[in-house]
Amino acid sequence: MIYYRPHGNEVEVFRVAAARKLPILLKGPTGCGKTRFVRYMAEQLGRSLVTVACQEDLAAADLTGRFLLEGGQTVWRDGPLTRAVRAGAICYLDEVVEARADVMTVLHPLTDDRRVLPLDRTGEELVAPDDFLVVISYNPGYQSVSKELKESTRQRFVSLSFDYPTAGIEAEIVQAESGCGADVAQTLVKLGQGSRNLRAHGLGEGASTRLLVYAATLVVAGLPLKEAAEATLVGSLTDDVEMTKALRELVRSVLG
Amino acid sequence: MGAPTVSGDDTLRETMEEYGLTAAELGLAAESDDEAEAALLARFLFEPPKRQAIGGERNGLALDRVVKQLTALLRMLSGRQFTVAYSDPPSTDNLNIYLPKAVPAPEIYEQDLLLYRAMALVQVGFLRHGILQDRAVLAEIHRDWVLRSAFHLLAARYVLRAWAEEYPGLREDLRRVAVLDKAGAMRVNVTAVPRDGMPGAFVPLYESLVTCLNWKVPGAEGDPARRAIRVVDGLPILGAGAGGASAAPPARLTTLLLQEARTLREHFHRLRLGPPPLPWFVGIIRPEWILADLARDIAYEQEWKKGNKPLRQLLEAMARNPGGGAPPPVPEAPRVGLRARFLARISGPDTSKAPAYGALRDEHVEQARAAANRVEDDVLAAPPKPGADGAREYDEWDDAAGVYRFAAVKVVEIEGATGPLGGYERVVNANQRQIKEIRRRFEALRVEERWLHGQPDGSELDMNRAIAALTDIAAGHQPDERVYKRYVRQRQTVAILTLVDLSGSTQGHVIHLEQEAIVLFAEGLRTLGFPHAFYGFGNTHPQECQLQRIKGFEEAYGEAVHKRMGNLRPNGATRLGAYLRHAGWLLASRPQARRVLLVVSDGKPEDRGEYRGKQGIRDTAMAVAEVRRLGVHVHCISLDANEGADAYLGEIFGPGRFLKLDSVDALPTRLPEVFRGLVR
Ligand SMILES: Nc1ncnc2c1ncn2[C@@H]1O[C@H](COP(=O)(O)OP(=O)(O)OP(=O)(O)O)[C@@H](O)[C@H]1O
Ligand SMILES: [Mg+2]
Repeated sequence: MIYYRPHGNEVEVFRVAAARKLPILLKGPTGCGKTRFVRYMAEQLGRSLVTVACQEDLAAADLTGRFLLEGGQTVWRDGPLTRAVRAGAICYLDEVVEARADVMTVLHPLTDDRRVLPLDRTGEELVAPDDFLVVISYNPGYQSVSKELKESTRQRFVSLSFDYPTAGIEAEIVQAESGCGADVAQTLVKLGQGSRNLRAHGLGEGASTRLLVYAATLVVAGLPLKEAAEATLVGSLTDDVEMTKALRELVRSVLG
Repeated sequence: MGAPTVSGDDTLRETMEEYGLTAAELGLAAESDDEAEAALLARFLFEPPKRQAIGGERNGLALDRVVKQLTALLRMLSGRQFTVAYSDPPSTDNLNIYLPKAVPAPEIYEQDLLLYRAMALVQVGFLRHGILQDRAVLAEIHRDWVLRSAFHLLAARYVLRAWAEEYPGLREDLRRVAVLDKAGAMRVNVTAVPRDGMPGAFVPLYESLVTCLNWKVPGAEGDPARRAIRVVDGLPILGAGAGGASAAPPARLTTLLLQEARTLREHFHRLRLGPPPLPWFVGIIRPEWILADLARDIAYEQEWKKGNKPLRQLLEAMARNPGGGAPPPVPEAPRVGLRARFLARISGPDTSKAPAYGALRDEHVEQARAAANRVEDDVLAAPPKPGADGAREYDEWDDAAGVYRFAAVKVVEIEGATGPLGGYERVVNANQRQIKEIRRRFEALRVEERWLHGQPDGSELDMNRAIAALTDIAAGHQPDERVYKRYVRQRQTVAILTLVDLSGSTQGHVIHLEQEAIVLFAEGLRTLGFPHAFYGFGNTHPQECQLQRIKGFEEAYGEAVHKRMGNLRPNGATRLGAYLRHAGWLLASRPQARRVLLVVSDGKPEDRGEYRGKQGIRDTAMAVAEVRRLGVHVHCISLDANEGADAYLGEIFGPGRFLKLDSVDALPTRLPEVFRGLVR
């Protein structure tokens, strides 16, 4: 069983959208549980999940597939997207804006009412079975100004906005994920929330839930809370000297 | 109760006698409240801040050195946004917090920082707990110094306790502040008073803040001051858990504090005591700043400077004389040209009405773009010729009529304002580290070294591509022949023009940071060797827009340029479309293949007359489209933190082509970063 703690109506929306075969866009800052959520939903819906982490070099052929040479023969090998289509799986494209533009072109006919995947190389046109679902994720706060989702892409998706959970829920998650005590979890969440007050005011983003889980894990492994916080919340958020000092002061203020 | 009633005037007189202060020193020289407020306001608004010698023997740590760190910490702790400005003693106007420029000598970094932190914590605490929000309370404490001081001391106790309870680490800090001599200097308003011989009746109030000041006379049990503090300590502090929301409902909190302060005031009056002076670090409450709605007045003042005076006078005249008022102003008849057809061709199909799924085809958009590009060839082939006065005339889009107005506006380039040389150097000296960092990051833009994959020709075979081609051949397909890769070191030059908003609304903090931003940016660009220019805009006349040249493309860095960069001066309005068109041509005539126009603006495009609202936005959007067709990449950094800003910025610059900063403080660091992101 995959652990996921819902913090809004995301589970219901996902269910309905999946039942209606509508593609889903997950928006939200890093480490707020997007990937975890998709894994959880796949399990809940009893579908398999194909995950693709997108990066700059990812081209359409990497998704659809290509011919390979095997013993003098050319053999067609499905890419992850094609596999997902054939299997009626959920295909999760993480940080989709990072990928090359032609990836979107492949996704377009799959994400409107046609629901087809043309494979020019093999001359096939796959029609997606009902269980097939595209889920993409995207972090709007991401630095690079040129990387924005195109309107024609954005409007094909049902979007679900994620943010870090409220203090109570987040503490629950940190506790469940790391096995730390309630006090430690609450203190870390307080630190995390403090750092998020600086979003767009000196820090690109505040501490993610993931980072808080890391800190808690270090504590469970025996590191003093202060050192764990220093290693994660202070060290991982910024290189700016002044900001580092401020974060260190925050840790000191909260921990005493 | 038989307690004598006292008026504000009595206590004022007593205060003056007690400490030998004049009314002026209490900030109340004028006869009436109105006059006093006006005088204060005038002093605040129009007098340049008095400069203290900073950095010499006479001062300790200067605020500038720690302000970034301090603001960051306080924002994290409080979850509130505010800006920091100078004032001594510390204070707040419910929007900003004011801290002294420097603390007294000698400089002991750790201690001085501790002191700054404590000063700021008191003021941010006032903001956070809404202590100064109730106007009735403010009005009551305004002239009554005894009441004001008592209220202040109790409120300070409350907020310090709130911080200490929520953040254990701060409790220790606040205890340490108490031992600092500097922190405890006593003042009534801005005037220092001796701390020896402090009446015993006051002492518990200080004990509650700073336990170790040296007049520790034990107050009797049942002492009213002690009782008041106990009451304050009994007030609940809500939101002290995670999340750090605000405390007890502010209205109730302030009323309770005021009640206690009133009791103390009666008590002190019976003892014939004046106001308890305040330790320096708890600052001063300035009801007049808040009651006078300083923020609103500054906004009003800026509006006025933008040139709305005649309009307002007209409106006021009409309001005075509602029956037969003056006729409404008649807009100038547009000179209508022939380009009406232009709109349909460049804007393409109306995408806003397309259904969410499916129907909108990228091909359509592409076709529309291609059509627009064809139009460009015959219409926008050359920049307008300069007239005899050096001004160039530009068309302007008339949104209501849906046509371009020919030669509707003139843009003339003038040399930017100049002044002392120190401005530029100061920024450079204060930001050595940032500059180094910017240069380091820019360095990576200079030479790009990478493998170019999928080339028709190259030094090495691109294995992945080659295999793909081979397999294609084997499978009987047409192979892609671009199977080589090449390692390139290329110097990619980009011409960059930064257009800075110098309109009236940037007065003060904004222009200060714009100046800092362009200096830092310039320092980075200089090492990079990219051709670049800085221009400032702000027009004082609607039909004639002056574009201030701060640094032209061909100008070398030298005294003249430094002087201009260090002395930006705000003036006028934001007829942005015209400026964009002109800047577009400046860039279009550059030889470099890549050209970037960065606009730094703090608000909507607005000028006198029709040029506001929809009209201003649409004309600017058209200008952006025109400039893009010249092959210039346009991007905007907006300092407009208003909710609605995204909508109009999106309309003008297109989604993803602007960056809205929530805080102007981020500008100096973000400007170079945005540029880097664009050309990377
Ligand atoms: N609601 C939640 N329930 C359970 N665990 C969560 C939840 N939110 C966050 N987490 C924890 O945070 C970690 C990071 O979450 P996840 O990897 O899903 O983030 P993400 O949003 O996909 O981040 P990124 O954008 O960086 O890929 C998870 O491994 C899990 O420990
Ligand atoms: Mg993820």
